[in-house]
Amino acid sequence: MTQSSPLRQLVPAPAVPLDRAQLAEQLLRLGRAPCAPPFAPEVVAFFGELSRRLFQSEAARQWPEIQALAFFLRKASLQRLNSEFRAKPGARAPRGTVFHVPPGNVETLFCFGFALAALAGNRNLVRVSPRRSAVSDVLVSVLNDALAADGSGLRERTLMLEYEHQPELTLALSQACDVRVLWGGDETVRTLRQVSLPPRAIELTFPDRLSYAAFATERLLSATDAELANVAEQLFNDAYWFDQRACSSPRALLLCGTPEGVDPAAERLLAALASVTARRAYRTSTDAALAKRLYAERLAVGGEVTRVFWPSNEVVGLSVQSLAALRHHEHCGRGLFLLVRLRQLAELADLVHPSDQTLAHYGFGAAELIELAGSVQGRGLDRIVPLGKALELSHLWDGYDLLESFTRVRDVRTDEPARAELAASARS
Amino acid sequence: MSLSELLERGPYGVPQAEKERLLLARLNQLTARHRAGCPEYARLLEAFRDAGPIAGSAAEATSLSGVPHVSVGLFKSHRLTSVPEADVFKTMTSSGTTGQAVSQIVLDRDTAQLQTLALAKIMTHLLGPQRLPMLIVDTPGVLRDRKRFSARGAGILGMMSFGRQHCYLLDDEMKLDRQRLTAFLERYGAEPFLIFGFTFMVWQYLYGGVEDGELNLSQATLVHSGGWKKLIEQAVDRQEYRRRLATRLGIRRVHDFYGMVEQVGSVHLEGEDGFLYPPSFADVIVRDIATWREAKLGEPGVIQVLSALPESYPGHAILTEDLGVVHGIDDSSCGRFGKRFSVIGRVPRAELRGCSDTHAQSRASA
Repeated sequence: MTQSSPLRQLVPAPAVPLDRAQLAEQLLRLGRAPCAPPFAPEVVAFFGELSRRLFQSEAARQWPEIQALAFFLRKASLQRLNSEFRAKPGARAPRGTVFHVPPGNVETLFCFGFALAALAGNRNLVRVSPRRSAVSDVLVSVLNDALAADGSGLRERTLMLEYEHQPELTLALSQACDVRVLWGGDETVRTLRQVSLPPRAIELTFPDRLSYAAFATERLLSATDAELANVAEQLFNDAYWFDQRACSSPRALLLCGTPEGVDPAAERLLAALASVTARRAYRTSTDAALAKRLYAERLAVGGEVTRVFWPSNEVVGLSVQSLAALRHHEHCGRGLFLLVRLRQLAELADLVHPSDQTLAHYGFGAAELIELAGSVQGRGLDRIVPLGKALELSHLWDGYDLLESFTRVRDVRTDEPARAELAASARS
Repeated sequence: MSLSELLERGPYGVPQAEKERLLLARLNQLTARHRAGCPEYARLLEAFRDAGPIAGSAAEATSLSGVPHVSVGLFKSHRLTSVPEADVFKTMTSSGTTGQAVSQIVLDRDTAQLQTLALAKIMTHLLGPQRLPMLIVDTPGVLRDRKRFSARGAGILGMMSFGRQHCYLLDDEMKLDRQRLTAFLERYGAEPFLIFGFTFMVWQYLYGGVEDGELNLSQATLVHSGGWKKLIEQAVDRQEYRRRLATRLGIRRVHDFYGMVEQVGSVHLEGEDGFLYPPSFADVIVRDIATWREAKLGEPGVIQVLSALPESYPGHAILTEDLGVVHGIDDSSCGRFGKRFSVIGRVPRAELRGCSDTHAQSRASA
């Protein structure tokens, strides 16, 4: 069964269908384009320009998720990335061609991964799901406009294809790459990993991850209305983008403090959050509201949920006996939070699981957080960040330093003993 | 006792205010009974106690909309019973399309008898006290495979006790068996008879199997049930359906009904005016989709159904996944007391963006 499902090239423009022969041709062409040195000035300039376009585009402006990407790609941010990169020991070169399979739930990630790999000097092959959304459409459009105006050679090093998953396509693209990046959770990783890679290629995988936010209840109770409104805004940004379905979206709220303070703190926080959702016109559909209700009922019937808070359809809180409920039941998202009570933040160390990714925190001192990070020791929680920063993009992700992963370390020495390293000129 | 009063007064003979009083007393009794007999239900009530209008009140309700209600989907994941296993007479299940979870409804003898009695009240009110000769727009095979006892089979089995000389109109390939139909009409067509079938099947296979004026089914009372989705897709609405059945087949008594396996016996039958009516021992509440309070007349919302019958499982107040609207109360043009409502259809499914799309095809919409 060949030629069964359509394949379209999306980037660079124009969007054209490709048959298998044309695909093979495109892959060959891509492979022949030379890599750039890491953080080549023209490439850095391109992304700065892309950032500018994303900030200016009217279509892009309505999406805070896209604005977050634009923020990450702005000149000052890239300069900082560049400095950090240069400070790494050893000479660095791009790996070659990076094949990205981004997730369906966080539509900006395909651009994020592409940008980091391109800044590292690589060629990029990106799969885009045919299940398109407004966000990915806007990104593709702005990206194509920026590439059309670009003279850095990046256009020749970029190919983005839209297709339904098919083993033979995955294989063809995998055989052409030096790095394969699989986002999309356990299912995607399990399925696509079975497709073989060339021996020289490495693989980065992003399996199912869970995230949550922790609050010092004393601070929630003593906060002024204005302070609480700000906390609720930060929580909104962390939780409601991507309908709470990103792996960094907090799905549980850990309330740390005395037992008597927990419920009042929860009520206060959830009510404030409901105000924010109303103000930002975030609406939960009827079927989502019914789904949340059924989810709550199922957990209540089993004794796992002891109390339901329902200030509005958009904000539902379920008091649970333990964090375990988060792991066992598929969370329906769109504004549903499991409420876990702890006496102290330190108790979290015993509850952490390797699939836990991000802890967003509010109201704790630095010492407490550092102690927690120390006692967790890589058993999970690769990201411990302030509330409001859960979805912030970073090259440090899920235990990877992506700029490291996208480059090779080289050991190049001359006879001169004084020279410890040479600047790497990478022509792969 | 309020239940027997409701059953004796005739399915549409109780004005709403009085009905609510009687029904409320009975429903409060049932809530207490299920709370005592079903630990899972008790836990649910406890967890939802302060949740507001979405839950109803944990203490005794003072109005029908305050009676605590559960989601219809809960019966698909949990087998809830308020009686000891020894008293379980039958567990009804209902499967829709393959792959869907199955509801489990636990009946003791009393509840099963109440359901049969209740349905009989409704149907004899419509059809008269005698069993009528009955056409079934389905295949004999629908009842054969008891393991996969479908919603279709359950509906037919329930209705069969109101008919006699049951005649299945479709062969195993779902084609109309014209010989059987003409033979039936020759014997019984001159006197009142009953036709039962699923809404779409009646259209597709009976209506679709004959020509205009070919056959005379004017003595028929058609009772049908089931979704309108496929018909709406063909631009056939309720009025069009009736009009065409009348034109082609001479059928003038057409009655849709709204019911579910989670509340068997509490069937909401269509009146001559085209609206649905709850019987005296059941009711509907339409809830506003934002506030979950009872919606105003004429305003659409999610349908919640109430029934005085379920004694063995906590199904006396159920929130469905259907949208509907109540048009009026005690103002029927066909002499029925109670609420006058219609069903709009299933709550639309918003597309959920998952992180993976490695399935070959996304789930087809139901």
